[in-house]
Amino acid sequence: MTDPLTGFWILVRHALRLDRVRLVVWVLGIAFVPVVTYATYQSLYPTLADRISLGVTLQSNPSFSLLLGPARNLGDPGGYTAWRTIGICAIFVGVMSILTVVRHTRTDEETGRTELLAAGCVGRFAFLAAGIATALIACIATGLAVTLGLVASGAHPVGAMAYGLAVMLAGAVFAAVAAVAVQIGSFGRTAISMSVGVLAVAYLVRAWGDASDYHWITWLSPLGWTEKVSAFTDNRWWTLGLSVVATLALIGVAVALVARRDFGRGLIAAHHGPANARPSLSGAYGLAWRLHRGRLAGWAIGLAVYGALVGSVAQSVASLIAHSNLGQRFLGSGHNFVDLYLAEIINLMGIVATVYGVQALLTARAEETEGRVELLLSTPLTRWRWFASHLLFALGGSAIVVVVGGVGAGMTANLDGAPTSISAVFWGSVAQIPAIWLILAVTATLFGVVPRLSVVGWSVIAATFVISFFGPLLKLPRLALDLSAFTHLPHLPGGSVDATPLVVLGVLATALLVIAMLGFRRRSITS
Amino acid sequence: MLPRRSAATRIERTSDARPYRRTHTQGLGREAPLDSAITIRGLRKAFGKTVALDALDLEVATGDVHGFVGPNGSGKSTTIRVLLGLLHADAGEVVLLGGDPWHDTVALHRRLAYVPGEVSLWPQLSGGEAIDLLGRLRGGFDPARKQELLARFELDPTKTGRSYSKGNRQKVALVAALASDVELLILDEPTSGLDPLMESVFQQCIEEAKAAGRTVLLSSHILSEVEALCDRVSILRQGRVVQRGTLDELRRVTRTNVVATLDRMPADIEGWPGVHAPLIHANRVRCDVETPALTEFMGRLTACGIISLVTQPPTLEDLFLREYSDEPS
Repeated sequence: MTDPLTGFWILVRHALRLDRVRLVVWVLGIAFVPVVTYATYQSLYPTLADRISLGVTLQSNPSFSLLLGPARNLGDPGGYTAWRTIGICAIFVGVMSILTVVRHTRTDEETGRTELLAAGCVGRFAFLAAGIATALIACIATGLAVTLGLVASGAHPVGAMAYGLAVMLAGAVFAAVAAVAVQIGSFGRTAISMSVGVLAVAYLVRAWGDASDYHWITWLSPLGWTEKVSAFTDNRWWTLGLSVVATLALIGVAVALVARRDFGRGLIAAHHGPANARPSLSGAYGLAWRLHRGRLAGWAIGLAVYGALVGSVAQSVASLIAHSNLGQRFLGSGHNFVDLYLAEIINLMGIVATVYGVQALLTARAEETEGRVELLLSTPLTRWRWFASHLLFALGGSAIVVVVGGVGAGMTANLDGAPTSISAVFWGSVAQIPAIWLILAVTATLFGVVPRLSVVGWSVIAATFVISFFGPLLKLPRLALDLSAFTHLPHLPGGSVDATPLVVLGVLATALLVIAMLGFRRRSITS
Repeated sequence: MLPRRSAATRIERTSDARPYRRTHTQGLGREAPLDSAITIRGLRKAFGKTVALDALDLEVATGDVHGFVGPNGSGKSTTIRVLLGLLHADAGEVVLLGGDPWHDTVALHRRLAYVPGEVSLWPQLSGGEAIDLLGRLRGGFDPARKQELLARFELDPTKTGRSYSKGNRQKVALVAALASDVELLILDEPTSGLDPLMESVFQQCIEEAKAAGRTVLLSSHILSEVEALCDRVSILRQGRVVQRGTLDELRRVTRTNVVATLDRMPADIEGWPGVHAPLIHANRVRCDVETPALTEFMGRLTACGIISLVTQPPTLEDLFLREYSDEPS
């Protein structure tokens, strides 16, 4: 084995074959966002007046607007699409790259599949190179899909190419980040946590730079470079070079680290745990606390930080809308624009908290499929109690996450001098809970009755997200909008409260949870 | 300490249709009626169109180490999952420790411990924590016993779940099960990842459990282990028990391998009762003889003048191979 890349192409083909469905879904899903945004802009808002009114809709949906970078060139569908979607696409393509690289390097090494192949004729660097190459191929495919999709929708080819390249290179940077992370952590999970952490920091740095007076900070983040390409407006090609240099440098680091570590180990050794369990690790709830606490803390802190960030700009967004003629004309002068803004933020927080909840519920499913439930239920632990312990963290945890996020936004808005009260924000967040719990109850029912379909919970969230944030843009019929549980919530703070929909959502959720419990007690445990 | 059903006393039964059992002597010598820890009759379980268990019968006597033998996919694990109340049986009668495994789950689980065939541990918990958690769920255990077992199995309890090899994950589950004070151990291929040294530690532990009066259902396809440990054996094939009994009884239905060198080779040896597949080379013969015909066979052989004689008693492996190769499915 003189060539350190022996077997590279075999590994790449193997990885692509394993991932063919997964990557196609990723690529098309990512391309969908800008293409649909571009297409709906063209067909739904053909006139200038429409575009101005659209601007108002967007201003009241600031989680996607202000924090996605300075808005420019909104009169042009391309400029509008880039401003509105390139940030989220860069994040998605980054996550895709991270998961792909980790799956084909560290996770394979961890589970011993690599060993099977390493014993064959495969070079020292071939695994890492193949993992990176697979991710890069996916990134290139994404870039192509985005560019071609935009061009097909009628966008200017040069702008579309700048957009596609920017997204592609954002993916490349995070593939390289993951390539370094898999050398450091001994486990796939560790590497994913580290890489996603870098992605989150990159997002926060970019957001901070764009929202503060220190705009140069944006240039410290790879996601900032994506934004600064300014596709369709300036088409600043040279910023793409920053991404290329960062990617190559990180890959260089990864290669240097591969040569320095042993097979199956990372730079951080696997840590050891206590030989004896603390008294708190006892019973179903003690175990559930151990399994859920890390994730719950991560989500709560993440949403608190995000809430604080978006809250801190509430005042400026509100005055922006209030002082524009558009705001006066479309919304009237009597409105508290800070409240409108915060209500939108809280709605977004509600959907994000649901993501946490479904993840927590699917932990229960993973416990089952990976065979640990079998061991637990062979002890005098009732099924009811075991299921309830996971439900507690899914339901209770999602409530904590949404309230922490909402109150975080309210507090920084208040500190900034915005006219809103913490209690109004608190109750606005609490009002999200029935809708969150209904979606979780649907997922729990799937788990309890048809466990194979538990993952459909993600589809419910995806549909809710599309209805909430694209529904009004796509001018979906009322019936479709009503399908989302969040449509029925009061817009708090500021809006009026009608208790009926909240009660109906609560009753539905309770009924579904009862069905879930009964179903789980009666069904066979699979593994 | 939970009260444990006395399994120390045994009787030898002669009048019954049931076969002989050997007498355990570690107890008081007092005779008590034989009762069974597990009784399964006509158990059926299908997954879609695949019939996993088809009219399965199983009887495990209290205090026995019962071997549950069969190839992969024969239904051993499915039977065990029904016994644990994890799967709902389609038909049949299942009595576990005098109760119904589906309805009396919790009460029954206080009295048993289980080691799955494929042990999966929590990635974020250390092995020691997993042992403590399982022990606490079973109502507490003796920490000194845990320490002793950890030492005997040479298991490092501080590693986290994902750092353990298959064998070490099995040791975690074994230590948790053996440390708990229960009457019944249900072990599903517990040693498939253990090395020979640990296999012998495991066998000692099972001997001790037996001495303490515990019942053990040991699913395995390591036949030497079953031969060394088990009082009785049930052999599964395609969801049915096809052979059951003590090892002696099972040997009785199989054949002894004989290699003999004779003064005079009888011409009609192929026609002797109970003789199978004789291979004759000059005055040497190699053949399999049915156990009931062995006495008559030896008489006839003696008449021919024995120069040398080698006989091999049938092993469980022979039995097993015969059970799976002879019969059409």
